[in-house]
Formats: sequence, C-alpha cells, structure tokens
Amino acid sequence: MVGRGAMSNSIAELEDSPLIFAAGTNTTEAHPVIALRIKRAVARGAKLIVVDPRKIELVEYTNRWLRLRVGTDIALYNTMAHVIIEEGLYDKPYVAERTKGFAELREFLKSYTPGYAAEITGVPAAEIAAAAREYARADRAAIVYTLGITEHSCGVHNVQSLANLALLCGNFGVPNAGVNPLRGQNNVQGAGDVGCLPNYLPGYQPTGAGEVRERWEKAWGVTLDPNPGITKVTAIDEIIRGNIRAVYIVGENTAVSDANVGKTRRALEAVEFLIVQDLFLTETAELAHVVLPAASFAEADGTFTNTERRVQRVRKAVEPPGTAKPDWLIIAELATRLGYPMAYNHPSEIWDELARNTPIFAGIDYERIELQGIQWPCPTRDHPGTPYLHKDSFGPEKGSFQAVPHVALAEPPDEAYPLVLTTGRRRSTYHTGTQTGRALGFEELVPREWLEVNPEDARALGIGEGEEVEVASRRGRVRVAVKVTDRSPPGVVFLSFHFPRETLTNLLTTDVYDPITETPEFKACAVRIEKLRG
Amino acid sequence: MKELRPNPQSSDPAPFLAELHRVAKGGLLSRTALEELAASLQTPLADLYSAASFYHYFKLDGDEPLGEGVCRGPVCSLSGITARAHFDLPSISCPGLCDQAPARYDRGDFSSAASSDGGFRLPHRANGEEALFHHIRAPDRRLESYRRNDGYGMLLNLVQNKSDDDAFAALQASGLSGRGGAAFPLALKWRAVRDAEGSPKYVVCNADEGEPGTFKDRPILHLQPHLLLEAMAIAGYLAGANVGIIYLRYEYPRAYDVLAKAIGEAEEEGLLGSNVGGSSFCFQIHIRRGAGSYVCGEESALLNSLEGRRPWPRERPPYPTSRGLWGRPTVVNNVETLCFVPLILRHGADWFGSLGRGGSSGTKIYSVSGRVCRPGNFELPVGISARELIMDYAGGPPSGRSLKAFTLGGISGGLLASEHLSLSLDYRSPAKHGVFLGSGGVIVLDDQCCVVDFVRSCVLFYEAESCGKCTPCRIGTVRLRELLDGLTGRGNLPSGVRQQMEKISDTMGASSACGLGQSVPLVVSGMGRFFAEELREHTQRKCRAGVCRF
Amino acid sequence: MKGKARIDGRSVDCVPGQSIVAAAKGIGIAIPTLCYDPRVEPSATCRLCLVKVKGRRLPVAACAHALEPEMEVTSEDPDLESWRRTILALALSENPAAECRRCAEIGPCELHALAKKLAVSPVFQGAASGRFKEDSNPFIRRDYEQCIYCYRCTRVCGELEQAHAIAPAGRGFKSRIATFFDGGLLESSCTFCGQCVQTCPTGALMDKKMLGKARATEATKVRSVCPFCGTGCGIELHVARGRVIGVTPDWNAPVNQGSLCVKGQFGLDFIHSPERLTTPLIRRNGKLTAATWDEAYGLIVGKFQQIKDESGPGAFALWSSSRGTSESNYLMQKFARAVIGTNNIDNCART
Repeated sequence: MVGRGAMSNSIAELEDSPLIFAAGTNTTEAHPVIALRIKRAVARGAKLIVVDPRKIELVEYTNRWLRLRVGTDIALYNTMAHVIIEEGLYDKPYVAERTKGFAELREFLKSYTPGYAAEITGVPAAEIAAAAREYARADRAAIVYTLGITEHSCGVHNVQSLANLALLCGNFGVPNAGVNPLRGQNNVQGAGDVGCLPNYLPGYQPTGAGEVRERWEKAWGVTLDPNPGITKVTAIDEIIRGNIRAVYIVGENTAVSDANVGKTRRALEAVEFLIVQDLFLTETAELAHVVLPAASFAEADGTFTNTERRVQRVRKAVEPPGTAKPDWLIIAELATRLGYPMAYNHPSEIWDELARNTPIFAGIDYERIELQGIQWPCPTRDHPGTPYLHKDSFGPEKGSFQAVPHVALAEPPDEAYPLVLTTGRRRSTYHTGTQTGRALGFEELVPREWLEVNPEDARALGIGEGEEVEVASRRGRVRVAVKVTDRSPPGVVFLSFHFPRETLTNLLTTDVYDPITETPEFKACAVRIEKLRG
Repeated sequence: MKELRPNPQSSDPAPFLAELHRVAKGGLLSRTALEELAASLQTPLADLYSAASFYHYFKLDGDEPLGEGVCRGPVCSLSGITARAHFDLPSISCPGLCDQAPARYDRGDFSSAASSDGGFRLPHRANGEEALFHHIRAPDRRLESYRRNDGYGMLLNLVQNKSDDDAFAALQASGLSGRGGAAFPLALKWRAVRDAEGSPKYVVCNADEGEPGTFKDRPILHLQPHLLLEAMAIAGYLAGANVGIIYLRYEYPRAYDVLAKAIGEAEEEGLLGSNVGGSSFCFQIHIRRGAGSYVCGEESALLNSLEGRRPWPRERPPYPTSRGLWGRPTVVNNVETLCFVPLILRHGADWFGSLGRGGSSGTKIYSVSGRVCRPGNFELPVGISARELIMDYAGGPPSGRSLKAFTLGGISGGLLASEHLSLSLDYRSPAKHGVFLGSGGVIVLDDQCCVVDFVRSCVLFYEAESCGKCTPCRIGTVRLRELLDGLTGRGNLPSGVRQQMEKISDTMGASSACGLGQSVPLVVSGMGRFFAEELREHTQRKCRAGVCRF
Repeated sequence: MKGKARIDGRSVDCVPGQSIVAAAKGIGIAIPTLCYDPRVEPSATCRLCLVKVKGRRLPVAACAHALEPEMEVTSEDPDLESWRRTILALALSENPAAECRRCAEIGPCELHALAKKLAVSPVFQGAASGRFKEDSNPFIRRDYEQCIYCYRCTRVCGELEQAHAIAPAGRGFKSRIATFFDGGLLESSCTFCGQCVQTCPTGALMDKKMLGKARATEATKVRSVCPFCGTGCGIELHVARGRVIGVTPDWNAPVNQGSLCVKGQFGLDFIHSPERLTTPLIRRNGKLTAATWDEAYGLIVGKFQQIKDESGPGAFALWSSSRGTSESNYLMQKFARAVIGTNNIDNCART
C-alpha cells in the first residue's frame, strides 16, 4: 500500500493525462471544477474510462463505460490486474525496482479471469479485458475516485485494488498519473493532516511512535496517551453503552449525515453532555446541551488544504454576526478556562506551531502562501512543494502490492428488500443543505429530493414519475417522490442526502463499516419501495 | 474547434444539412423536429439551434414563414422594377438570376420575370474557342451524350493506367488556378492534400456561388453535370479521397435534381461508386444543399456548414488542405475550376494555355449583368478587355445610355469607371487599380444609375450576409450602410461622413476575419476614388441620376 | 518546432502551440484583446489583437495563431493602432460606457477599461443590436444591449463547462446569444456555474445577486477559498459596508483558473443568513435559550471537570469539522490530547 488519503498528483495534471480512469466518482456533480479538467483532457484526445453503476454525466464523454454492479469493484480491478499481468502489459522494470509482493499478487489473481469477473460485476469479459489493456498501454494514466470507492465496507480494499493497477503500470511517481481521491469537503484533507484522527498526531505521525510523541509532549508541555483513540463510528456505540459521557462536536451535522442515522440520534439524545459549535441551529445542534455560535469561513483567517494537498489561505472578510467567534478562539478560550492557557493572537501563530513540529508542513508559512498555496510535503523554506508524490521512491519501503479478495455487499438485496439503495450528491446542493439550503434561488434548481428508479423497476412496481412513495430498509423508512430514469440501473435506486428535513435518507443506510477506516457502507443497502395507500 | 460531440462520420459524411432539409416542413423547423434531430445526431440542442437559425431558408417555429420574396440585391434593384411591382414582398438574397432580373422566390422555387426555369438558360456563344461550354448546347445532358464526346475518358484512363504523375504534370503546366476568386494553383492544392497526413480525405465542390452578379456555375450545374462529376472523381483519385461532396446553393433547386440523376446514371455504369471503371478506386459523391447563406461560399464556412456547425469562417492557417472537413485533408474547389480538369487532361496544358490572351492561360466564364443589352454568361479568354466583354459581347448599355461604372468579381472585386474599359480581365492587371477579377461577375451601371445608391445596395447585401463572427464586419457593415442611408436620402447625414466611411472601410479591409468583410471596402473606396464628385454631391443632398430622393 | 521568433524586435523562444498573444504576454507585451479567454479555443472575433507578421499580406489575429520560429511580429504601429481604435469605437457605438452597469456596480468591465486605456471615444453612432432578455432565473442577468458578441460566454459554456446551454443564434448584426428556441436558462442545460458571467468582458451577463448592493467604488476584494467541496477553488469575496456582496473567481488560483461551480458562485448567502447563531445557547428546562459566553464556558468547564474526574479522559469524544480551518482543527486535536488527555478525536471524513 502506498500513500495517504490525498491525491498523489495534482488537479491541473489531469488535463494533460493521456488516460483518466474515473471510478466511483460523479465528478461533474460532486467536483464540477475538477470535472472541467477531465472534460478538457478528453477534448484534447485523452481516453476516459468510467466505472460506475449509474449512468452519470461523465458517461457522455466516453465510449468505455464499465457499468458494474454496486459493490463489485475489487473483482473488476483484480481482473484488470490479472489481464495486465498475464498479457505481460505491466511495467516490468518499475515493478522490479519499486514494488514488492508481485509474485504473491500474480498467484493470488489467478482465479480472477475476465469470465469470472463478468459474472460478478455484470460487465462483459471482453470489456474488462479491453479496459485493462487500454489502461496498461497508456503512456501515463490517472485514476480518480471518490466515495463510490471508499464508502463501502470494503473501502480500503477497493482503494488497494486500484493502487495495484497503478503500481503495475508505473503510474506512481510520474506526472499526469497516480491514484487520486477527490475529497468531499473543503478541508477534510486539512482536518486529517493536522491530526484530527484518533490514531495520528499531526502530519500522519502515529500516536504510538515514541520520538514523535516526545516531540509533541515537549511542544505542548503534557504527557500524551500513546494508544489510539476511537473513531466517531465506534464512539456512537460507546455512547450507547454509556462509556462516553461528553461529546463536543464542531461544525458537523452528524444527526442527519451519519449512516443509519437513527442510531446516531438515539446516541446523541442519550449522551450526558453534548456541545455543538456551528453556524446554524442544525438538526444536531437541536440535540445539544450547549450550542456555541461560530464564525464562518468569511469571518476568520486560516487555511484550508484541498484534495491535492495544497495549503491555501482563507481570509477574514467581514465580522461574525452577534457574538459569534472563530472556532480557534472558542477552543483556545475554553482550554484556557480549563487550566491550559492557549494564548494565540492570530491563526498564523497556530500554523507556525503546527509547522514547527510537522515535517510535511515545515516549509510552509503564511507569507509563502500569500499569493498561491503550496502542496505538502514541503519540508523546508526553500522547498517548492510537491505536485506529485513518490517521485523517486515510496519512502523507506517499496510500493507494496496488496492481494485483496472480492467480498459481497454487507447487506445484499433479498426477497424482503429487493433493491439496492446507493447514495450520493447533486451538483447544486451541498451535503445536508445547511448552507446551500439557505442560498437564494437554489430551490429553483433542485427543489426537493427524488428517488431515481430505473424504468424497468418502476414498471414492475407500478410506480410513475413524480409519484410519492415510501422507501424502507431494515433501519427506517422515508417518503420521497419518484424520478423514473435510466441513470439508475435496474435493481438500484438512488437518493442524495441534501434534504434531510423532508427525506432523511440516512435513516435507511447501513452503518456496517470498513474495518480499517470505519467508513460505513453509504453506497449500498437493501431497500424496498412501497406505494402509498389511497 | 475541438468539441466532444461525436463526428457523425459513419456512412454519411455530412448528415446535418440533409437532415435539416428532411425535417423542415415548408422550410419550417419545429421545436419537436429539432429535438428529435438533436437526439439522433447527438448534438446539443442549443448548438443545433445555433446552426439552423443561421440560414435564410430555415425558418423556426415562431418566425414569419417565408412564402414569397423578391430580390432587391445590387443587380435586381438596378432593374428599377422590383420596388414597384413587388413592394410588399420580403427581400431575398441574390439567387443568381441577375441576367434575368428581377428574381423572385415562391415557396422553394426561384424564377425570373423572363422564365420559370431560368437556371437552364444557355450561355451566349462566343466567337473564340470555348472549353467548358463546348458541348453545353447539345440537346440533352444525359450520360450517353456526354460519353459520346469522350466523357469520363480521362477518369477511366487515369484509374486504369494509374498515370498520376502525368496528370499532375499536365495540371501544373496548365497553370490552372482557382476560378472562384482566390486564384490558388490547383495542382499545388491537390498535391498538398495527397501528401497530407490524415484520413479519410475529402473532395468538396463549392457550388455555392452567392456573389451578386455571378451566375457562372449555373449553366454547368444545370446543363453539364457529368463534366463536374468526372472532374470530382479525378480530384478524388489524384488527391487520395474516396468521398466527394457537392455543396450546392439552395437557390439552384433544379440543379439538385439534375446532379442527383447524373450521379445515379454514372454509378449505374460503374463510373462512380465502388470500383470505378473496374479499378480498385471507389468514389462516392453526395450532394448537400445549402439553405441560404452567402458566406458559405467561403470555403471554411462551407466546411463548418457541412459539419453542422454555425457556418462561420475558420481562422487560417490551418488550411483545408491539411485540416478541412472534420479536420481531415480536403480539396475544396469551385465548379468552374474543377470542370477545366478533364479538358486539360484531354487536350493538354498547351491547348489550355493557348486559350488565354496576353500571357494568361485558359478561358473564364464571365457573367455580365446590369444595364447591358445582352446580359448572361460568356466563356472568353482570360485577358480579354473589359470593353470587349461589356460593349461587344454584352452589347453595352441600352441605346441612348452611356456606361458609367462597372464592377469586377460580382461586387467583391471592386468598382471601376468608364475610363477603365481598356483594362485586361486577368489575374494581374486589375490589381493596379486595387481591384480583382474575382469570380468573373461584371455588373454594369449606366448614366441612369446612381453610384452611391448602388454602393448602398452592395453594403446592404454584405450586412444581410455578414455572419456576425467578427466585430469589424458585424458592426462595420451596419454603420457603413447607415452612413450610406444618409447619403441616399434615407436617414440622417452626420458631418464627416466620408471620413467615417473611410475609417471603417480601411479597418474592415485589414481586420475582418474573412473575404466577405475584407471585400466590403472595395466598392466603397471605388466610389470615393472614381466617383468623388458624385459622392460629394450626395453630401449636399443632390443625386445627378435622380435616383436618391432627399 | 523549437526556435526563436521576434516580437517588436525582441527575441522570444517559441513554445509549440503557444499563441502570439501568450508569447507576447510572457515578455511583458500586452496585446489588447476582448474575445480572448486562454481557457478555450480562440475565436478571433474581436480582431483587436491583430498584429503584423512579416511576409503576410494581411495582419493576423495574435490569439489564434501560434508563434512560429523565424516569425517577425509587430504588435504596435500606426496602422494597428488606427484599426484597433476604429474597432473599439465600433464596439462602443453599441455599448457606450455611460450605460454600463457592470462598471457602475461591480467594477470596470474589460471593454470600457480598454477604451479608457486607449482613450477611444464613441465616434460612430447608430442602431444597437442586442436587447435586454428577461430571464427569470435567480442568478444570471442577461442584458444583450451591452453585448459585443465576443462569444466568450458561448465558448466557455460549450467548451469548458460543456453545458451547451447557450450558443450564438441568428446571423450578422442580428446575431444573438440564445438557448434552444430562446428559452430561459432554467429550462436549458445551464448548470449555473456562472462562468459565462465571469468571462463576459461587458455588462451583458451579470451576477443578479451582486446588483443593487453597492457602487463598485465602495467594494474591496478579499481573496479566499470556496468553502464547499475539496477542490479548493480560489475566490474573491467582494465586501462593502461590512457585508459580503458577491463572489468572483480568483483568476490566478492554480486550481480553478477563474472557474467556479454554482455553489461557489451563487451559494454563499448563508454568510449573512438571518438564521445564523449570534449567541451561545444553553438548554434550560429542556429548551435551548440564549446565554452569555461566560455562562456557556462556565457550564462546559464545570461539566468537563466533573466527567473527567469521575470517568477519566476516555469518557470524552471530540469531533472536529472538516469544514473549519486547519488551524481550528489543529487546536481541536490539541485540546483533546493536551487539555482533555484523550485520543478520541475524529473528524467527519468518515461520514
């Protein structure tokens, strides 16, 4: 395995990529401006391979669309790897010099023949083989993916099976290539980078690593717990068990955005002490004991780090409303009152403290990113930043192939719940609608939620366009209007989670999660559609 | 232009115009029809609408349908009757019946005061040797008759003996150059396409002569179809193309039937289509009708039109020889130019050279219209004098009238006065007066005509035909016409009118994106240079011809 | 095709495919343009960038022609100046500066800024071609009275965004910018990315949300980053009278180079939403009621100390925001680890 949860390469590089392999990413809707690069690459003659069960807009830009069944990614990529190896299309010097585990992978993949994969994925064997050849023969190829890959109970394995392809074909460490997650939130990259993870200190330095811990202990003047903490997902269970008594949530509408949100709500309703810090009285804040009013991005200085690892400045443009304060100030004041003085005059001082102790950021300060952001790793003041990772090596280790097996969906459709629900985003709404729901005019673009149903299924169920139905899973039920469209393949229905007040999609989703990242399987759960009576 | 919409290159190399004509009911394109067409051609709706709304003869739901119309172009308006007899009819753009003015339009057909099938009118017979028109007065235009005179002989000879080099040598030696206006050497062009990378390659025949006062291709298209077809097939063979497209102007509807029938005949006899003359050479000819647009006579706009794009001219280079139809190497030649090819191959370069006069090669079709006794087409030597053409062949102005002015190249070659009658009509001499032979159209004005009013009608034509792509032409034509409106008693007359016209003309000539805009200044500056006094009188609201009413 | 060419006598290295305009810009020569947007194919419609190339009969459009080895380009001389001034005067004849709403409310438009720079006055008069188009969409005002038909909007819509919502229709002076059958943008394939508005060099296309808020002279621009997805598009917040009155893309941002999507362009009303929280709230008798910061902090400090004393740091869970700044996230994890003493810190990356 190589890399961290960030693009190995840069957004701009996509434009000159000879081949783009888009897996589980509805880029035109979720990342419209990155999609511009893909469209332009295609216009310039790049090949595009799209892997998606849904007929997303990107499909219009290619004639190589692999419409796999939901949750069968590993079988598909393993088989592509099999074809690439068996036909000798892999980059032999690269594999020899820079990777390990090739022989084991080759052995492991023996059974992943195109015929076998065709049965699992529903993609014709010849198409899989053709895609494999096209990917392997491209001079360089960039894999981009989004939550269609990671929001599965086998999300990590999905990514690893994609990374195998890139390693086989020498697509790490060169421009216009790589494996590139397109991340969903403005600073989800930064939040992880600076250590908001239970197992990592800032800069992806493990909590248990002695030398690192000592550095931070010295910097902060405290003793640190070497054992990793628990994730959000585990914490929900621990709240229900009574082991977690206080929860402090900053800027997240978790009471509607979690998978199997019914359970999250029960937990948050039960927790002894809940603090929510946000811009609005969100569904989550409504459950809190204390709500703290925060400043928005336009009301505070700081940085966001985008999906290509670029640290960029945000600047205070206006004052926060009323007595609302920037997040950093609230946390600092609270820490001070709790007996740990945090006396920062400006966020730049916070950044400098972070950068001093974090090698990947060591060369970045506000002055350097005044005009243009810098991509980490940036270890020194004279380092220009890193447009693409792994240029000469994968660090001390070699790039390691991972033999990962195909697994079935955590909750496959059955007689009682015969359809697969998959979830995602739409372009002109964002997340739980806290912000875009308040943007004037947006209601005219996407006025409400709708359930995308394949015409075949609609016929079989006797439901029509615009009809209000109930969608039920083992965990809950929601009401929503139907849109009959061939965007959804037969047997699969689609919902976004942008209108939680009317259609709380995550009442349906399953919280079965990936054992490594604990990311739930938002992308597949079993549901049925019920006609309303009368 | 790079776009993602798929090139519909399947079996039909250029389906757009044909499809638009197919679904246009009485020239009217409905919303539903365009929606269906966009889906089947995989074209974005707005782009299809963009292209369709460009043409005069496609009307869209909500537009005023065009039932009847009359030409008020530079030539027809000289006849003096259009305004009176048909004053309530909408104007149409010059349909190429200038020798039978005024021209009328009636539900898809064009006619003249003189006849209902004016397209078939025979050219006048010249005293010297004719090349293109040599057999044109034969009583029928069937394949049999064409073959009796060795028709298709040169094509068969080529494909069977593979004598490419000889053919190229002959064409090069003949000095044959483009007769549409640009006068580019034909052999060079074909060789460039043959040697260019990319396939498939195309031969496109520009049969979209829309220049006012120019109707020289009309007799060939109506009366000599096989000559053109043979020429195109030879072009295909020599340039390495297997597909030919005739872009036929909308205004010659009957020529479509003639050409379609001729293609059928030739295919039946194995002279076109697969395995021409039993050889391995295949050549398929398609006809695409335009839909009313002068600028489509500009080769790059024509190619855009075939591709279903808005027929805007392209920026050049690259030239069609390297990036033409669908970005592939393409021969684009005018009808007249192409038709010389079989004749040169048959009779030799020397023969062709001997047809010219004063050092020029070959003959040229001259279309003469306006105030002359015998308007029409004449095939005469390149290098003949304007006087001989206008006064002798075309009979000069009606008796009692005197010649005041004449144009070259339709209206786009420039405007000259009676003192220029001795000018030799070739590809070099006119340049000394800043004018060009161009298409060979000559419009004659007599002393009853007003030069200023005539120039206004020319500019009005350009305004109506400007594609709107480039700023100097899009606005410049309008501002010029408005100034000429003032000079001819139709509007306000600002001070400094002549300086303003000069400024705009000069800028348009240098900066416009294509030949249309670049040509506009020629008539305007001709007026300023050769008719300065008459122009000055108009700034004082006087018209010596009594045409302009103040 | 490497080699050297000369522009105004200065030697320039040729980069294959690089336009004369771009090459000139590289050595500090600003050739005037209006229809040029380097992100899309050149259309060479405005003809302002005409330059003379030795050996060519006519001047060429520098935006649409590559600088080739051995070329000798002249970008300034009396002819070129005269042509440019005439073309600009023609454009002004349709679109005089005094009537430009973009200049008045948002900031100088390209057309009038250029006319001012070259001191061109509207010497020609006559009919104008475009019309104001009532379009009921909530975002984009379409006033083609101010259009100069440079076709940047249609090219950006077609080539860059690939939305193909608008295209030129009609012809000549009666050309117009139209959707299919001249319908409204809401009924078209428009994604409201706003890129047409941003590339427009005149007041023809404007952000409805920015109009009527302030005079251009009152506003300042603050560079920032779009707060929605992880792309990280550079934006400029226009600020007047203490409020964000509009957004324009940051043309120098390496990520988006002047592009945005509907959310970043039109979706920032939440900043000044009347529903923003303005004071802390404390649950009293089951209801959230307004409180002071002191009250809120006091309650939290007491409760935190109690739980920490009774159950230890492991009884806390802290979830930080992937929407907040890195600095606040860093402090949040420092707070968890150094102040509370737990690694139970996470962010919403998983959900």
